Amino acid sequence: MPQTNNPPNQAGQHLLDQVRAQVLAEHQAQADALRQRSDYIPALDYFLDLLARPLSLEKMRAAIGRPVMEQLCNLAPYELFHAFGVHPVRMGCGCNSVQRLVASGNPVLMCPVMKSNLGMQRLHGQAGEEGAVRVVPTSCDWVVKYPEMARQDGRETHFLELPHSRQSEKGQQRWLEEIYGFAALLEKKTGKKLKRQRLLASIEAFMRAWRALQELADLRRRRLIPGIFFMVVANSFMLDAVEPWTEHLGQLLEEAASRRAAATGRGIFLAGSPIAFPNYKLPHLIEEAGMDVCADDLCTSERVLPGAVCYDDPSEHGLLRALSERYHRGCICPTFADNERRVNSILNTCRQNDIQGVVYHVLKGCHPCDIESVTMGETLKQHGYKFLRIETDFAKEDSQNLLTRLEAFGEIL
Amino acid sequence: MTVKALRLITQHTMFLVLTYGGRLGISLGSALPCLSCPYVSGCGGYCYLMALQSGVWGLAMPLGDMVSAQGLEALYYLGIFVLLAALFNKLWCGWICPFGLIQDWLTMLRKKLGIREARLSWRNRERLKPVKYILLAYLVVVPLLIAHAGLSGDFGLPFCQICPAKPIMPLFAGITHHLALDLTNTITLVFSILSVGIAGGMLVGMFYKERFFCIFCPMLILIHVLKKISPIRFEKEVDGCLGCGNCHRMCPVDIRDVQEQKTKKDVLSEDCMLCLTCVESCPQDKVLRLKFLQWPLFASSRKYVARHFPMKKRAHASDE
Repeated sequence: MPQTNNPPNQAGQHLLDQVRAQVLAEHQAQADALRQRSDYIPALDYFLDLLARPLSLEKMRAAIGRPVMEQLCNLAPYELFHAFGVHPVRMGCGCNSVQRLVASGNPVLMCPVMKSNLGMQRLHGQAGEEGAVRVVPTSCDWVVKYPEMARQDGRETHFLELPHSRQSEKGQQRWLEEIYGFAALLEKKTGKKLKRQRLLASIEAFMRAWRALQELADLRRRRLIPGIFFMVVANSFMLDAVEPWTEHLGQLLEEAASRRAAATGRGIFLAGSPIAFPNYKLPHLIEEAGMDVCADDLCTSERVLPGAVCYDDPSEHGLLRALSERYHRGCICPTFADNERRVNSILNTCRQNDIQGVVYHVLKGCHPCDIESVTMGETLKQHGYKFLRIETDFAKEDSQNLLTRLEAFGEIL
Repeated sequence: MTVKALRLITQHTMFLVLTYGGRLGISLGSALPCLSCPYVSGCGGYCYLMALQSGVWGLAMPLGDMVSAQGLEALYYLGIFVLLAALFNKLWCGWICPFGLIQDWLTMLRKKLGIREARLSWRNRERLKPVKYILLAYLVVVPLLIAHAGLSGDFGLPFCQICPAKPIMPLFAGITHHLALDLTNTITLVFSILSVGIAGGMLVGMFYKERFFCIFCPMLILIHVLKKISPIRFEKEVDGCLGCGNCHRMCPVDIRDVQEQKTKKDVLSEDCMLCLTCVESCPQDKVLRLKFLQWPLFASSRKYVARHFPMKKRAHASDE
C-alpha cells in the first residue's frame, strides 16, 4: 500500500515542532501534577510512564515487539487481536494542544477525542505501513467518519458494523457475523489460523487483567484510593502488553491495600463521555469541589475492559459467540438503541456503595451521551439521586465556571 | 467449591443411588419426580410417570379400582409425588435426574472434543415448547382410553414405551434387551421400533445440544405446576439486570425469560431445571437468587464470576 500521508491543512514544520513541544509539556505536566500529590502511590509510576509519552504506533510496535493495530473504540474484542499475536491500541486521546493541527478543515463542533486523535496522527505523521489496518467498530458517527476525516493517511479501514439493537436475535447474529469477519481479516493479515487453545489463553489473559482492575475498582469504591488514580491505570490499558500491565497492577494493588490511604471527598458516580489522559480537568475539578469519583461507567475507565467472558461451549464457535455477546450484548454504551437497562448499573453501584450523586460528563459533540443525559437525569432523580450534567471539552477556559457548579452540587449531597 | 462442582457431585451420587441403590436395599419409592427408570433392575427408586400411566396406581386403573383401597394407594403415591416435587421443585431436574446426568456426560464429551453446540433459533426454540404438552396429553389420554374406552392393553405405559430412558438407562445395569425389537404383535413391534429410534435420535440430539431431551420432558410440566406451593424460589432483582445475556447463553436449555424479565421477580420458568448456571455466570451482585422460602441459598456476584471464569485455568500460550 503506498504511503500517502499528506496532511490536508499543510501544517508547516515550525507549527509541528511547536505543537510537539506543547503536547509533550501537556502530558508531562499532568503526570507531574499526579506525582506530586501527597497520596501518590509509587507503584503508579509504571502507568504514568506509559501515559506520559504521547501515543506513537511505531514506538509502541518497537516496545511491545508485536504488530500493532489501532482501534477507535473498545468494542473490537481485545482477545481476538491477542489470539493472533496482534496488539490492539485504542486511539483515544485527551490531548488539548494537538487539536490546533486539525482545527481547520473539520467540523467546528467535532468530538474532542476524535479531534485530538486526528491531531496526534498528524503530529506523528503515522503513515500506513504495509498492511496496516485501522479497526473501526461503528459505535458513533464520529468514528464512522474518522477515516474520511483522516483522509489520505494510507491506512486500510476495517469497519465492524455495530448493530445498535442488542437484544434482538438478528442484532446478535449480525454482530457475531462481524466477529467472524474480523477473525478472517486477522487471519489474512497475519497469515495465522485462529487456534482454539490460543483464544482460550487470550480470554484468560484478559480475564486476569479484568479481575485485577475489578480489585482496584473495589479499593476505589471503599475509598482506599482516589478516583483519579483508577483512571490513570485504566487509561493506560493496552499501552503495553496485557501481561506486564496486569503484573504491575498486581503490585499496585498490594501497595495500595497496604497503605490504606483513604480518599477524602464525598463519593460520586461519574457517567457519560470518555475521559482520557492528559485531559483530567473534570476529575481534578471534582476533587477540588470536595468530591471524589468512587465509581464510573466511562469506556476509558471502568468499562475499558468489557467484563468477564463467560462461556459454556469451549468450541471455537462457542468462544467467539461468548466474546461477541460480551462485547455487544453486555455493553452499556449510550450508542445502543435498547439501552434502558444502563441506568440499572448506575443505580446498583450507587445503592451498594452509598453514593448520593451522579455527575454526567458530556463532551461537546458526543451526541449519544448528550441525548442520554436527559433521560438518565430524570430516572436518577426519580430514584432520589442528585444529578449534575456537565458539558465541556478539553479547553481549560470554563474551569472556574464548572468548579462553581460542582461546589454547589457537592453542597447538596 | 463452585456450585457447578457441587451439582456434579450431587448428580453422580444420586445417579449411583437411583441406578444401583436397590441392590443395597435402598428404595426411594415409586413416585420420584425424575427419570429414574423402573426398567433398570436394582434401581433405587421409580419415576412417577410410570405410576401415573399404570393400571395399578394410575390413570389406566379401572373405575372400580379407583374407588377401592387401590384408589387410595394411587392417591398416596400422587401425594408423595406432590410433596417431593414441591419440596425440591426443579432441583430434581438439574441436580438429581439420572437421565439428565447422562445428557450432561454427552455434553462433557462434546466439549472435550471441541465440537460446537447446535443452536436453535429463538423461533424454533419457541416452536418446540408445546411438544412436552403433547407428550403429557399423550401419557394422560392413552391410559384413560385403555381404562374406559377399551383400547388394547398393549398401548399400556405409552410414554415409557417411547421414553429414550427405557433403552438407555438399563444399559448401566447390563440390561440390553430393551434395544431389541418386540415381535409379540404389531403394536409392540411399532413401539419397540419407535423406542430404539427415538433413543438413537435423542442420543445424537443430546450430544450436539445440551439437555436436548429436557426440552420435551413432560415431567417438567408436572413439577412446574407445583411451583406456587414450593419453598424453592428463583428470583431476579429486575432493577439490577444489565441485559448482558450471560444467563441466556449459558443456559443449557436456552431460556431467554430470565434475561428478558423486566417486571416480575419470579423467573422460574417451565423449562428451567435450576442448574443455576445462569446464577453462576451473572456478573451483577444479588441480581439472581435461589431461595428456600425467604432464606437465600445462592446469589449471583461479580466476585464469584471473577473467581470462577474461565472454567479452566490455562497457561499463557507462548507468543509467536
